[in-house]
Amino acid sequence: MDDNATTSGGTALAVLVEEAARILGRPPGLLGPGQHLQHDLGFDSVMLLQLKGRLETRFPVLREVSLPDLLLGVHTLGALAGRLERTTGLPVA
Amino acid sequence: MRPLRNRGPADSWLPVRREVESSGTSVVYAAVADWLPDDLQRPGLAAALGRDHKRLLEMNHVPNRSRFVASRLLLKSAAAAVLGATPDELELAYKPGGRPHLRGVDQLDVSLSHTEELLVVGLTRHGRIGVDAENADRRMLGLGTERQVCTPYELEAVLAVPVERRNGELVRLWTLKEAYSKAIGQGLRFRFTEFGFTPEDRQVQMLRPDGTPGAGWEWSFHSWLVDDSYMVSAAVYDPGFGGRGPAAAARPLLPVVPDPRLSAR
Repeated sequence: MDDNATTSGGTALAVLVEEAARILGRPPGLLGPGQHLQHDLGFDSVMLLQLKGRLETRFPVLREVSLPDLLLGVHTLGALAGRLERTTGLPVA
Repeated sequence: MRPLRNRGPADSWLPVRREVESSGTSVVYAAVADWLPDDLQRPGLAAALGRDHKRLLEMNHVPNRSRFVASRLLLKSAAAAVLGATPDELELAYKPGGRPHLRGVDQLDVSLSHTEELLVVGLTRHGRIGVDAENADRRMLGLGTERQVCTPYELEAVLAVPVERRNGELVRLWTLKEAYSKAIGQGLRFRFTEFGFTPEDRQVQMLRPDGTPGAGWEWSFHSWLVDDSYMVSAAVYDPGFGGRGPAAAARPLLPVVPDPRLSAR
């Protein structure tokens, strides 16, 4: 599982938090890297699709990455930020 | 087949038992409120949920907690009624991909879905089943989701739908894909752009990305609008081992007995 992996990358995390907060309709300040996408934030499959769509506008290379490749084994915002950095290898657009 | 409404633990399971008895498959829906215990701390809930109780304790999102508990109670009650067992005798377990199954029970396949205030459970004794539900008005169009959900053929077909029904068509396709993906135990692992379904005005069939037929006769797909609010889809795999028709109907899984609660009403 990726949740135990390093979740470095403040930039990716900041973008992720910003987009997740927009989908949830919550202030970004209420979101943190340790929060579980489903159990803590209530993300469902459509919201995950939506999140990937939004992230694609910030990291265009994600258009070539499938949803499972981005999300499988990832449960927290911090782990997803780490996956984002490793997957994109690009600065935030 | 139409989904059957269940109105809570006191409701009769006879219609569901009869449907499984006659056709092998049943899809049941209920309201979260009908199955949610008043107190999630109540004694007995841990035993009723089994290993799922540990997962419940890890959840902080209140609506998800409610749907999680209510859906498991509904599923175990429905399965127990069909199997002639009690819910506490059944253990809900999960395959590595997250697909639910009843441990030690190989004659009944199950699937579950929940969204907002709706719970859906699929039961089949034929092979495999997957169910999925979404609010029919949930916005999906224009959020970048259609490109992740649809095959090229489906994208064209969705755009051909009158604009006022276009989002609903995307929701229907999404629930069909989720249902199929659950039936085969893939969930979000599956690439949804690698298979598709027929447009809304035709009998539901699976298609390849170019729109040609893509699944064998063993699969059947269904979509229904439930309570005028929710799109519910089911994917059923029936390899035909049990057979259908009169011969199959004459071999009941378990005898259907009259429900005493019916005569009391």
